[in-house]
Amino acid sequence: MLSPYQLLENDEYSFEFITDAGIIYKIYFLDYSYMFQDYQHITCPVFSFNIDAIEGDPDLAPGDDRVGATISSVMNLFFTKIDNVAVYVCDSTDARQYARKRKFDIWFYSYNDGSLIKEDGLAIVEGTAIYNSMLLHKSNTQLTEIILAYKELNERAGDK
Amino acid sequence: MSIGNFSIAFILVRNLAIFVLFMKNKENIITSTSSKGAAIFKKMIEDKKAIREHIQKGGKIADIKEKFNFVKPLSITGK
Repeated sequence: MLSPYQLLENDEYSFEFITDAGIIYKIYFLDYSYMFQDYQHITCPVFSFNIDAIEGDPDLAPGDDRVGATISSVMNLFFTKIDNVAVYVCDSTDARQYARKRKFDIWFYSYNDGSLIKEDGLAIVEGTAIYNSMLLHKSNTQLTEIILAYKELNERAGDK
Repeated sequence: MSIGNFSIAFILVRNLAIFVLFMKNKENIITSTSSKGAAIFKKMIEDKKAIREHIQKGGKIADIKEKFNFVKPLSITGK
């Protein structure tokens, strides 16, 4: 198992880490607990998970598996609260959303020890497809309800 | 190869090409019907974009903390 990079807390709102190649990544979460507001039986906190390279270009740096190990360590800490739910949306503004989805998938399948469940979605927003994924702990007390609601949010009228 | 066999091969190749083009286009079909959760996914993308642009210009998260619901749902110190 590769060792994760050291997480830095330079402010109250985010984490950072610096790779061997000098790329600086910022990780932050936003509260979207209202995501399931139409499903009143769902009470779990929902957060969007975000990671951005804020210095350096990861595409120009050699592949670095420790980045995945670092994300994994963040997720392990995040899911110490079993009912936490994380949603990851692949930014579609530069048409590289599929590459982002693939990276996220590779990370998940490489590091998931079986305790997490990933549910993938493809939302259509004003004609644009947005890849998104939801992570939740397999012991989440509202697992089934959340997955069903999430699938429904990705559906369009007339789907099925 | 007889003309008959050549025609069959030609039709097969043509149909295969049509099928490949169809599948390729199917991935890119743009529809006017949005997902039921479109508004929230749109907001997530817009928030992400705005925050990234702010940070990449050298801005601090503290400067925009009122506009977005930043949270730290985990502790790296174990507290």
